[in-house]
Amino acid sequence: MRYGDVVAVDDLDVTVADGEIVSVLGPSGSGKSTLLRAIAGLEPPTSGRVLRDGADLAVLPPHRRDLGLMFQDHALFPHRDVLGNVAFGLRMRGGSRRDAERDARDMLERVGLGGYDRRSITQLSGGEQQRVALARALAPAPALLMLDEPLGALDRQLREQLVTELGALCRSLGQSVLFVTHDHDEAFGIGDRVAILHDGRVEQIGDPGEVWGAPATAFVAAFLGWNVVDASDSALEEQVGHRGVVAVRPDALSLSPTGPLDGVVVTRTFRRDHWLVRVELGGPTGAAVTAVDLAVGDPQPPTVGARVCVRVDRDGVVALPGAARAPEA
Amino acid sequence: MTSRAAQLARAAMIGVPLAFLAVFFVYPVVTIIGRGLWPDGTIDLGPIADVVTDPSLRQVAWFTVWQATLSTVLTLAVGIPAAYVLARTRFPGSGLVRSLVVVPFVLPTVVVGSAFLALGIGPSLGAILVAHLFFNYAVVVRTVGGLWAHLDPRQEDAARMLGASRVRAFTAVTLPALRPAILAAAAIVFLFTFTSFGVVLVLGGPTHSTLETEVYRQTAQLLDLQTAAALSIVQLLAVLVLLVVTERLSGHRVVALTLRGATATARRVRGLGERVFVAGNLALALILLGAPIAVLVARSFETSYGIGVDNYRALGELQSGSVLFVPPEDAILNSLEYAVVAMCLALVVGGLAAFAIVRTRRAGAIDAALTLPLGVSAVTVGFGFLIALDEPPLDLRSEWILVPIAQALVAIPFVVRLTTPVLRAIDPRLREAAATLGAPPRRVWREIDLPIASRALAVAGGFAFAIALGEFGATVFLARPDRPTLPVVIYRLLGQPGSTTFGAAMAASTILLILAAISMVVVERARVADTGVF
Repeated sequence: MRYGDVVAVDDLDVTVADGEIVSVLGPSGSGKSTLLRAIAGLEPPTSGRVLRDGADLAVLPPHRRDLGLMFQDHALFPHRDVLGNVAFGLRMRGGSRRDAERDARDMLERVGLGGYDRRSITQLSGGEQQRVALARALAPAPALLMLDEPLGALDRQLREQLVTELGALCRSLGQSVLFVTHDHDEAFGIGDRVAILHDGRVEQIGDPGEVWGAPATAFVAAFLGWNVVDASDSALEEQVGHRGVVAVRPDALSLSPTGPLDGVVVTRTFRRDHWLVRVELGGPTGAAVTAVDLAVGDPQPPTVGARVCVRVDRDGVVALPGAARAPEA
Repeated sequence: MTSRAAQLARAAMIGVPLAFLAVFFVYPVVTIIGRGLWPDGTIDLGPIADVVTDPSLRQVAWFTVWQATLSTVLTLAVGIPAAYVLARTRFPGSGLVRSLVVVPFVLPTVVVGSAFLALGIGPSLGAILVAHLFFNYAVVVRTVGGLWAHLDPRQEDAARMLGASRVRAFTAVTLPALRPAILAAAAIVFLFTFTSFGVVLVLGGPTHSTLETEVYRQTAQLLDLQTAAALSIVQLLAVLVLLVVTERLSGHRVVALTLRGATATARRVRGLGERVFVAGNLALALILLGAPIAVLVARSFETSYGIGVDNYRALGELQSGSVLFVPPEDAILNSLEYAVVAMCLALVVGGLAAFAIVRTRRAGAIDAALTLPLGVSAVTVGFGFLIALDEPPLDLRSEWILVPIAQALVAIPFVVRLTTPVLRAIDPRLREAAATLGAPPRRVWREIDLPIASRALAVAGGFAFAIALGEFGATVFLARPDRPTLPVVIYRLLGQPGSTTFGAAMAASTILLILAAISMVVVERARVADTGVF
């Protein structure tokens, strides 16, 4: 998808299976919303195709694609009450008003808003509005439900609670879902597969454990909080066992009194169950080579400015494209 | 809906209002210009030259500008503090006050004129100024207040945190933000007072006249159509300039407002100073707006031997041969009938125009075109109808429909101004959401645009009805003598000496006042959003 000179989404190839939940994770500006709008038909793609069961959707306008889209700011209809909103999609598909309202009530029960039928949209809390928007999108049981950062405006606790409920609900309905977010926890928590989006391209896609445990590119590694290290000097190379750019998990680095690499603590941040300590590793000439983040379990980690030694556990090292195994010393 | 049908629909949406405008506005106005500039087939700037050089007429023109300027300054000075009080503070009854403030605007100018006469404020410049303040108070309060209510109060707070005093924060942050609304309000008030007719006619007396009343005098009393036409042209030019300035200043802020009231920014009154300020403004509003009305109603019940309903009875007893050719019930019925027809016309034309404006790119031009009748003054419209629509196929001079058409023409700009902001504020995401839920374009229109618009149209309809009810300037030209409206009857009664006729005029004014007030209160109750610009 191009907007003038800006390529918003490029070279994307994602398939969602029946009943599968695919998370699309990426930083702001990576083209996530654009992707969903293009699939929904609200914006025409410059090139590429959207296929449903093999049929090209390009000829169909948005209202005939049988896709559901839940917007970030939910876009609830202010002139209709809760039931009116949820029943909307059901009414558009034909069928009597009574059936539509009955199914809408069912859906409201499922999202935990039973009895909210006649309430006005403007009187609902943020979380309640979110649930109504969800119910509205789910009610017509679309072939694919797309969620655009649905939990963005809520506080952390509510978000965590809702993401679990959301996943359970969609699985119980057998609903195929494309879930777009910038939040790691949401994406990995809910998705059967996770796709990492960067500058409009999918850098990696796979099941959560796979992506988390073995990032495929430097961007993915950095985005997930791994250390991206250019192991070009011999000391580092020997430790990580590769020459070139590698990713090292923060908890694969540890402080050890005799560790082969030494450096200086630059900053330290409290992270609930561990401290994130940034260490600048010195090269053989003493000049700083690279900074790495360590997850340190010790409740009393070294202070800023302290000299420390670092050890690398090879299990937590992943070679990135372009790196080669270092010859065994 | 196929795109072909959609294109046709869109063409109709733009075409109908423009056609209406062309036939019932452009054509009459062009005829006026023709009559003034080439009366016998050759271009003759004589009449215009006469008008421009005649010292008494130049005096009239100068007075028109002068009183309009004074009126504008006065109304702004009084209206801006009031705008703050009504838009940004919350006190018991503030909603009701906000509704009632608009009532004077739609009152017939004749009624107000007679109210001031009843107060003993005789014909003078001062009376004209205060009467103009009475009418246009609501314009400033709603226009400036409408924007003020949506300004983020946190911006002023931020300025104060950075070290600005309260006054400084106001002048440095709020005032610049309000500038567009203040200028727009000033331009509108100037426009209205420049073309003011009823007020000047009743309260100006023989010594004060404006271009507008002069046109009427030349036409109806001196039967000098050429001079009248020349005067109209001069006024037209002045108004055109004014309109261009208005358009530039008010602009078209496309703000996606949420369809909720702006009560979120209003806060309770705190502190003694603020209480005094609020109370003072409310008292002033009460006196300014309430006193004339109260006096009017009171005088209507005053008879030669005490309080009674004699004046109302007198209305019914004055036979033909005196002033009324028809019983007052008929005048009331005429008024109501005309107003209903005018309302329907205004809603159809104005509603279509509003939809067209929201959907096309050259919105500014269409909006300006439809607002022209507003500026060009009812007298010119009435006059234009008279001299233009007198030949087949448009010989409508003796048709009753002429009056509602003229009234609709005056009301249409208001319908457009009231409906377009609401339509514009419809979040496009709502339409997208409806589309993703399976609604085809025509259904989207029916399910989203129409329900939201119909509320706005209801409000606009009530407004149009009230405006048509009180319309005087064009109606006095066009209403057949045997089918007058209430405002015309009142004017006739005022023109006759005698306390009985005066009392009857008060009675008729009170009836008209009540009818207008009812429709405005109904309108205000039905409002969906505080998109407060006219």
